[in-house]
Amino acid sequence: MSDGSIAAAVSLDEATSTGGAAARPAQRRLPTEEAPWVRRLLIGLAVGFLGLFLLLPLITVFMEAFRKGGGAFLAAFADPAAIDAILLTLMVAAIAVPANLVFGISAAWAIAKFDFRGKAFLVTLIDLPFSVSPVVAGLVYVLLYASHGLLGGLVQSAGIQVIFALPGIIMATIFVTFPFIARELIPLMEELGDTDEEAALTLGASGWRMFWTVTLPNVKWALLYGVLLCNARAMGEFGAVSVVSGHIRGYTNTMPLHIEILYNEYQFVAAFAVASLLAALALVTLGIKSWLEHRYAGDLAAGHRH
Amino acid sequence: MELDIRNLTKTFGSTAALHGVDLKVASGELLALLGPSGSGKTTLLRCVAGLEIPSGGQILFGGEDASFKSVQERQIGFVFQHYALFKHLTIADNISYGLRVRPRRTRPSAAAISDRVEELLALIQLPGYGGRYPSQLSGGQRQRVALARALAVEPRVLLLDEPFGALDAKVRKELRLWLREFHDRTGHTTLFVTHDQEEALDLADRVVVMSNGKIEQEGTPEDVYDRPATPFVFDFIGESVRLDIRVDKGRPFVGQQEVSIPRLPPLLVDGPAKLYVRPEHVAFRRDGEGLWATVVSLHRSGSSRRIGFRADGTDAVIEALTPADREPPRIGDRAALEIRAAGLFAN
Amino acid sequence: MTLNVPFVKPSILPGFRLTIIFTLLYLTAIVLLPLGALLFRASSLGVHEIVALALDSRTLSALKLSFLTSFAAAAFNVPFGLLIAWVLVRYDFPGRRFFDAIIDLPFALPTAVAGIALTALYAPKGWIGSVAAVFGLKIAFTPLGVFLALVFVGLPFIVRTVQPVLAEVDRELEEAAATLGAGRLRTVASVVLPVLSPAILTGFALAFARAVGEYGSVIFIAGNIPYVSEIAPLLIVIKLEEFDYAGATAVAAIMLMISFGTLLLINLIQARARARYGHV
Repeated sequence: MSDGSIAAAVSLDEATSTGGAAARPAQRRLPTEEAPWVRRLLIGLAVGFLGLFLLLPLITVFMEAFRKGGGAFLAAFADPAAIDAILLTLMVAAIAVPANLVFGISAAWAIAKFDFRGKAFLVTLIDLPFSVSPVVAGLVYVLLYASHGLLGGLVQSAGIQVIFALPGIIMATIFVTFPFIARELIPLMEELGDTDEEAALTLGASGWRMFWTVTLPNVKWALLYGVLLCNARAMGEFGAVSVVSGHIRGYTNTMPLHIEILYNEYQFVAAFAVASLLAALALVTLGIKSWLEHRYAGDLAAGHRH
Repeated sequence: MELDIRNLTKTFGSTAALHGVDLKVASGELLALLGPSGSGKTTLLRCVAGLEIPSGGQILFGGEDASFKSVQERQIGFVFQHYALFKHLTIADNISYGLRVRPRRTRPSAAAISDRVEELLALIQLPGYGGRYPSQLSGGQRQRVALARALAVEPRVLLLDEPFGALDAKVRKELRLWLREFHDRTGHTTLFVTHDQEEALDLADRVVVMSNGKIEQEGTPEDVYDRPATPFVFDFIGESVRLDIRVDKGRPFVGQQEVSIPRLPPLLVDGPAKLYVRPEHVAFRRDGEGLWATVVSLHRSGSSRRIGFRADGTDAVIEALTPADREPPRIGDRAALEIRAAGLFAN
Repeated sequence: MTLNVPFVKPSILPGFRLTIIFTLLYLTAIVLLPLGALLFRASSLGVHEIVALALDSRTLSALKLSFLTSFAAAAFNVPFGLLIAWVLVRYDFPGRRFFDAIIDLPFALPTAVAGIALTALYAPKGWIGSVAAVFGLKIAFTPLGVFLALVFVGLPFIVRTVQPVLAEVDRELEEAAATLGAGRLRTVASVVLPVLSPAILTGFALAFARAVGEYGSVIFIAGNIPYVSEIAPLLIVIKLEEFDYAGATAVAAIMLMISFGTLLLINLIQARARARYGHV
């Protein structure tokens, strides 16, 4: 630890310190920063990659939709099958999203506010649909409700058609969008703790009143966020719905299925026109999501994405 | 290796963190940078290390300008407040990190590195801990590992940022003693930053008191405690009360009474001034010469008793300390105060 | 299960009974019962029959294609996902918020829309496809097309798992490495990357699991040529259309086992990382 060993290291750099008498050292960079050219290169690579892999497909949707002008674009929506598909999609989302909303709030309340045995396992089960292929999600409903399925006889004797009909589409959609809202709410409600609710109770609020006036306002942004993601997925689900729908035009065709049919019939402009509607929905979802994250960063659970 | 800091300034955006700091550190010295948070002490330390870029001025290591050198080239040892140990590496790999990242031609052999690690582990009294991970160590042990890691590269200067800040009071005291002995044995030029005056006064050869990006005073612990150079130092270090007084023809007056204070530097400007008095420099008698005052408060604090006196004809309260086992005066008693030392500053 | 341990810790908050019962009923009806139906079907087939169905050469080549392209796409996304996460967390540049938002596009864009867009882009007449054709490279309707579609699908998983961890990396660690003489590249490789590695592995596994099951984004660009570009999920659909429920069940069971295995692996990685490094 003598100073003798240092001399060599110092002399190595004497060349760089020739301006030693200068009162203002030249601007160096911080040790935790990269050289400007490295930074520019990395930004360029990242932006280039995102442009090539994400932006270009998105732009393609709109380019293809308007390839033959606005008239051809609008003509796609003159097709009654397209209108039927849009209406069916809206209807499916209008049922699936509220159903998962009620479930999400209920599950989050039980999981975030109480300690019970098997909680971790329950959370894992709620996440399960995320790791199941949409095709498998459709298949399991077919296995359950088709005429020779486990419950097929039961529903048939009740006169309900599940598979190749609306109930099947709705159930498959609920399955694939199942975790979205619960997953946004659980970490946030755990983080917030119970003190606000306890305060409301000590002030004499009833359980419902406490929920509406304390819990819900606390989590409203995360809830909106979850609903948005759930809705985007519900309207856009393809694989699971494709398996259970039976592709009956005008009856069990949602927008994504309609796109597939148009595409397979080489009606590219019409297919991309309908697709552009869903792409626009995705962009609006991303826009609101980004705005919420920016504006209410603290009100969404920390570090929790998708 | 001596260190020479010349007219160092640092601004963050529009706020200045350092205003032209000049400081010389002798080789082998153990120097404390003491100040409240926001005084610029950590910024100064980080500028020396090369972790911040100064806005102006120079830093010389052993007479050579290091201002333009990168942190890697400066060969300093830096110990972070929260240790910044690499938690994915074992203790041995943490300590040897600085040796292993050297370019091949200056890198010691694997055997030499492992010998050095063993040597350092023995030095920090953690022999046999090389295979553990940082998460398996206590705070004080992590602190010593951080020190060993910084020493492994044979630094020219050792820089410690609030080295005991994250430890509990008992470990803090033990480690403080240990560091002093350690420094006496190894003799590194060492700068450490602290906001704890007791730590600075206890440990350092020399204390540099900083406030608002400037050095208020530098000197031995005795200097800064017994002869504070500025009102700030008086306020910040030790206990004191501040009296608003008047200077008339060079002599201090509390109310209508003149106070005589030995070794008080003459104040040339007449008019209102501030007198800083430490409680332990105040003695009182029931009669005789002195500043006459009335007892207004009595507090027991630990082994001593704190007595508040109001000087006659003023609102000024002066405190004195007496041993708790001595018979205390009563509220309303009269006494003559003798002020053995004080600081006098013009308004 | 001892009786003196209550099922739920007492709390003054109301509503546990109501919400837990609803949650369990809903979970059972929507998820457990249907998945149970699959397991029941699969178990009635027996391991022997599942293996026999899986070893059918068309099934085998579909499974092989799905797993290989999924693995390759997830692996390809690791360096680029890292790069993008790094740039988004560490640098400020015009459009940073836009690019940050657009990362989630593959999550938000319906898979069928992505599928036809990617096909249009990579088809021989498409913007990229035509450029590739100049070099004699065919993308659409080949395994390469499947791979590129899966890259699109998997990217956000890597970026979004790495991003928050990278944002939390203590700058002091990098400063410590620098004071010890490590250069910038060395610091990033030896100090930052190890901290990120559990997140990278998690992101990789998530991207892989998603890619194996992916259907909509892939089937258009794949061209679905048996033995060449036919993916496993499509095989399930084909078998269903042929009313071959046993075959569909067998393929689904294999895919489910793989994705649950992957999930288990993720949990193990995370548990191990926590146990070893702790929270220093």
